Amino acid sequence: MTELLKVSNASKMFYDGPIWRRQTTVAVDNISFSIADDRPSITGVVGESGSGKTTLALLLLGYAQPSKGQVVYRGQDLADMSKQERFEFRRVVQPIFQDPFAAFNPFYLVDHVLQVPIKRFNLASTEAEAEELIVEALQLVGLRPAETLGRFPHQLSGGQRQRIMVARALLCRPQLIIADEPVSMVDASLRATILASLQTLNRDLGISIVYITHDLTTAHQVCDNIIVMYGGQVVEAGAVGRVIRDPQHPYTQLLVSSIPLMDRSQRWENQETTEPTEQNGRVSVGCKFAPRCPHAEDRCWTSPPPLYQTESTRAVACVLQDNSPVLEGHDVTSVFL
Amino acid sequence: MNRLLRLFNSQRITTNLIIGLVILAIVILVSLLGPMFVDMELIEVGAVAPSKPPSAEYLLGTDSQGRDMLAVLISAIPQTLKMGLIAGIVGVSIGLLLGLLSGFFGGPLDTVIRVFADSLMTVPGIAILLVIASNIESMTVEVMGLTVAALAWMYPTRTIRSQVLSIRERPYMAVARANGESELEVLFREVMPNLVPYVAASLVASINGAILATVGLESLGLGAQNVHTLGTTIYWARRYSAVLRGQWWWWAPPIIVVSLIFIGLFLVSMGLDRFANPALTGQGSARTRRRKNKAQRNAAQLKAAANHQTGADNQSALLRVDNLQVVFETAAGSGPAVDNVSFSMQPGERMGLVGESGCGKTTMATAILSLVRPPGRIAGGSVQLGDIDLLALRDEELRKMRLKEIALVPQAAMNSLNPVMRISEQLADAIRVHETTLSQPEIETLIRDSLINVGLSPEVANRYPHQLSGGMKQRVSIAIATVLGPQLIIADEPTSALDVVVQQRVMLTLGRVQKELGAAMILIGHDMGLIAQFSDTIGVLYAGKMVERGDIDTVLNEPCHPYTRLLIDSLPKLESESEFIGIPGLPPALFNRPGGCSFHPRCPFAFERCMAETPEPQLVKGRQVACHLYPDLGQLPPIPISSVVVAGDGALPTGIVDKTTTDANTANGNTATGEAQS
Amino acid sequence: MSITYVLQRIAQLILIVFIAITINFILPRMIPGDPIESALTTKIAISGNVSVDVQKVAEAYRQKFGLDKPLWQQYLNYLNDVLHFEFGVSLVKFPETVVSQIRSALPWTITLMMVSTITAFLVGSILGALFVWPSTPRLFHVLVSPFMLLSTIPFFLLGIILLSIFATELRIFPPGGGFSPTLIRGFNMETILDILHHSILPALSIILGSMGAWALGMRAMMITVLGEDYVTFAEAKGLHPRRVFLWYGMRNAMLPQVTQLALALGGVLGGTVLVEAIFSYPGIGTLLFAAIATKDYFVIQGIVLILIFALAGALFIIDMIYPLLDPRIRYTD
Ligand SMILES: Nc1ncnc2c1ncn2[C@@H]1O[C@H](COP(=O)(O)OP(=O)(O)OP(=O)(O)O)[C@@H](O)[C@H]1O
Ligand SMILES: Nc1ncnc2c1ncn2[C@@H]1O[C@H](COP(=O)(O)OP(=O)(O)OP(=O)(O)O)[C@@H](O)[C@H]1O
Ligand code: SF4
Ligand SMILES: [Mg+2]
Ligand SMILES: [Mg+2]
Repeated sequence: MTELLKVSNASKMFYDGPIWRRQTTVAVDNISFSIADDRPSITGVVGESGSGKTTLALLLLGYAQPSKGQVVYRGQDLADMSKQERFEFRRVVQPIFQDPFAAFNPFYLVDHVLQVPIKRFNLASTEAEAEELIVEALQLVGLRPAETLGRFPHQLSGGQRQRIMVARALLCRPQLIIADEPVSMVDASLRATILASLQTLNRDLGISIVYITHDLTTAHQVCDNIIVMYGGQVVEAGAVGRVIRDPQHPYTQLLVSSIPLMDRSQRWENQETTEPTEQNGRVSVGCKFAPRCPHAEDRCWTSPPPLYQTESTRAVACVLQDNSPVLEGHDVTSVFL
Repeated sequence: MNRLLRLFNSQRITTNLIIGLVILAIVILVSLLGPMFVDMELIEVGAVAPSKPPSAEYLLGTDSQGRDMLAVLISAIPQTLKMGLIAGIVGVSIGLLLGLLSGFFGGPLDTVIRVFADSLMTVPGIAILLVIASNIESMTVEVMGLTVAALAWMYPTRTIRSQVLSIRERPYMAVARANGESELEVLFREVMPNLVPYVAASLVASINGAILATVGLESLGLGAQNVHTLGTTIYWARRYSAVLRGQWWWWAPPIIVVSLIFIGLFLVSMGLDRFANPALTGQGSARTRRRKNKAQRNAAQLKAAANHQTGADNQSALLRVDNLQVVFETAAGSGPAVDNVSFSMQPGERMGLVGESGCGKTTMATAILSLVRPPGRIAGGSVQLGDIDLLALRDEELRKMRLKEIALVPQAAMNSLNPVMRISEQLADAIRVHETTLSQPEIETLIRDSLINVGLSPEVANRYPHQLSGGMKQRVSIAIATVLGPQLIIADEPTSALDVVVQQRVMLTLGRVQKELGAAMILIGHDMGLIAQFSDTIGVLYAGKMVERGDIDTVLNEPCHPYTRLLIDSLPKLESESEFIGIPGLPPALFNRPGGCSFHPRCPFAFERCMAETPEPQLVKGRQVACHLYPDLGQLPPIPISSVVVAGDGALPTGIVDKTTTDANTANGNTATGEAQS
Repeated sequence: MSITYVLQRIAQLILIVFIAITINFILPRMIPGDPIESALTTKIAISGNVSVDVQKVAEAYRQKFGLDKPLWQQYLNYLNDVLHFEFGVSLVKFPETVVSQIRSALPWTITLMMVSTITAFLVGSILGALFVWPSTPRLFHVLVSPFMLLSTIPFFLLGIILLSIFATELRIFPPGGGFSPTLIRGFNMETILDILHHSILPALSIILGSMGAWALGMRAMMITVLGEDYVTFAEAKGLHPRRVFLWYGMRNAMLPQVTQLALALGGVLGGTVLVEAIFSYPGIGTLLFAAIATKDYFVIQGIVLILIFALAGALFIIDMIYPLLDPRIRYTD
């Protein structure tokens, strides 16, 4: 397998406060995985707010440098790329951001954001050709060009704006799209359309996608593989069907049980209290989830559990799985489908 | 061209701007056309008889040096304006350049520019002016202008810098980079255009300041005394004691002209505020008073009484909403955000209210509390809590009902707490105003208990909102809403900003507290799953209308309205990897609702009647449904998959535009605090 | 607010003051001609004594003030003097010291200007807030709007207008000065009333002239604040409209204004030169004005130093207390 983008043992620290009392936030903690070059995939990254998803996205996009480890694009470390290489990288790996309003420069018509990449990346030789590219991209995401072009961002709905962002990413002919919560700001009924556009890109155009979200249901729906993050670490990873339908890490279990289901027979209020027992104040140098974990044992607090490969397509970082072999190399790609 | 059009979008042109421009235009015209009508030779000393009050011959009289004041004035205006323009343009250009560099690139460059600017700001300009003035043989208008610019560039630098700092963090910067733009392109193509309003405002302010400074200095005798400007005219008037001698025609006209220029610039800059801050558009003088005349009140009571008799099964109802109508009236159009909605709720009932964004959920909640703000207006109907007609109450009576009887858990809990008040104060506020007899210790106990009750530690009381996480803030607003034990709690999307784990915990807390109080609750949301988890009954809103209302299990198991059905289907399921089901099209714009059933353009089952006739709610299979398919139809047929799987949609008509703009503005607002931080 | 933040701010303050003081050192030395000679000439012109050899006296002065030393030594001496609040003597009113001149002028300026600036701030802010408060009667808008327009007129011009109406025409108020020349000053009612009487016109011109700017700033902030969700929530809590207005509206809207107020107070000493000059008020402004007119460089330098300290001090203090007013502000850098 050749790798398009490879994260190896990447960590990102943020520092706060005075030098002598410096507080360190480990936003991303020793994560390794990769996106294949030859086989289009959708990889989900899920986790609660503050678990480091956006930071990971910024690392993947080269907008932030890892404090440890490296991010490698086709054998080339992002940290030392020439201007030309970076330019190429920028085209091939495209972002979609969470807030579809803030992603538009309010000064320009929405056309601006679609025309610039064509010019910069020399995607068309004539005006007409450029026009055609734009129309084609818009249609791919289910937008009618006549009703979207020539308008200002605030004149479009959130769902339309977000799909223009998808179309923009698409225009650049990327091989990988990093989508950071692309649907969290749109209505539940519009989510479906945007996610379907993403899935079309993947299936029909062979574009790989990293889909970052805290919504397990949609992750389940679109992804092939999934990485569950907690406190900047991978706590569980593998094929999406297995991880979500039968979660093994207590945190994933908590996440799955928090999904509001339509099924009225499984009402939260009828279940045993799911409120986790928080052990206030105690700092864990081991598993970061220990203070909230209902199964936490003494050893959880003292040393961080490695990733255990519990199945051919799953790895879990929890001592409860210690009868399984430790995942070699810590790279979760090896358990992906 | 389009950009220009947008800038001069009619909504942003205000009367202030126009009046200001007209005043300035008149002043300029007088100075330009004046020489054609007035003999400009008369500005020489001794040209006319000295110290004459205004007369037919000398319209503005003459000064004690024998000059015609009108001629003096006309020759002085362009000089003054020139000075102001030079100072303003040069000062702002320097400010723009330095502000851009400082804000965009940051680092040592930023520090150097900032420290230098701050240092220069602390040295009084007058001292520097003095030095410059004494170094220059003959002070000209141009030099004076440049001098003032040299003393004033720090102010635009500061403004521009703080703007650039905030723009720099916007996501569209990253998008531009992903589009292949280089750093310089990002700076000039993405950042610069957004500074236009600020630059314009700074320019007006600088011209203002420059004229002020020059007129001031000249009237102290420190300026260009060998040319006629308004300032020097005032200087000479003072020098020859015109004020004390009552020669008003000497000193008053230049002061009046300066004042006119200032008033003009002031109005223009007020007008420019609109460009700088589009959020101001349409807010103007925010809310108007909720006022109702007696006749209206009586009519409402009569109607309520009538309803009382008809709704026999509603005898025990806690809340009864009848034909409630809320309209928004704006320049862009008007339309009913809540359209003839009627429903009732029993005590202790949990009602889920669902619908897509913009269908009127929040408007309905605010209408029940009579908190609708202009341009919204309650246009008809009644809201009854027990025996009390809320819409007929006087302001003061209504105020006493709020929180004590009906409490709101607001949609944006993140922003619903006053950021500069401690939690305890915000709770105490609420308690004190309704329970006037409680002593301080009693209030404190109440605060403590209410915090513990929502699962927070009592010490949270001493914190400020920004020290709490989103989930904690939401708990605090639940604590406030429930502290006085209201009969009805309206929770407007209480968890939409939280992640799933926190959402579950907050909802469980809200549910528990509501049960303990025995209060009824309206839970607003667009997540069918959450509503299914928490409600006893459900109401489905579409385009301001209640399209389906009934028991939750009944409705979820067999939705009758096509819209309800689609809403339910569009929720992805965990059990299987299903197709994406979306609702084709978009909800209609507020100001352009389709006739007939407003859902017909999107409805897979629509037929002719749906376009012509508005369906009335009717009882179908134990729930109210407003759809023409019934009563003829026994069961809603399966939805044709082709029509609902990922369809394209139309553009959003302009109706929703304003709302989304303001939302986005508040979302990335906080410029004030951002500035203080930097 | 961390200790680092405070230390950083103090360092910045020192740096800024240092640069400003240095500018103040360089400035007079950039003036062409010899300040001492020109001051002496002025002085002689005033006193009419022609027999003095200007050159010789000037030489003596220069030696006395160390102006014949190399520049760096002068600079060090200057810094040393500044540290000891030693601003030299007035050249024109020799041998009066600069410090004593400033000391006698300062109280006048501080009381008059501080009081009127704060009054203008309070009145302006309240009016501005009322402007956008929904239940303000229409009549208020009609009555107050003209005052707002009046405020756009620069206040020293307003001073001239007030002077001509109330002092020249109506003769209700004295045309200038801080007290009547005939008054025997003492701590009694008569003195106080006399001083008040003299201060009303200058105070009024500052209040009327700057009120509008405060009102305008407040109005803009208040529009934003009234649109905030916490104001709606406060109303939903059933609070008295008065409480919502004051504690949820004004209090929040005023925060950004406080910085401006501090700057205005810091600038009070210098910013009102013109008003003082027009009313011949015996404060710092008039002193500076006179010093400029007679080129009394040491006095100018001394006053400028005082102004630098005042403004830098005001900026520093506001930075220190702002976090107390607005708990959201986090200082990290
Ligand atoms: N620039 C920064 N400086 C300091 N700390 C930061 C910075 N950016 C992120 N962090 C911290 O790093 C952690 C991870 O943040 P991140 O934004 O990656 O989380 P996330 O999973 O994207 O959360 P969300 O779902 O809220 O977007 C958080 O604790 C955050 O406070
Ligand atoms: N201030 C306003 N001016 C004009 N129209 C408005 C205003 N506020 C709301 N509306 C319109 O009223 C309608 C109902 O809005 P409302 O906020 O009640 O919807 P909602 O169902 O709460 O939506 P959401 O799920 O986004 O909160 C929308 O069409 C909206 O555009
Ligand atoms: S009335 Fe007609 S258009 Fe409306 S929901 Fe029913 S079938 Fe569809
Ligand atoms: Mg994020
Ligand atoms: Mg809403």
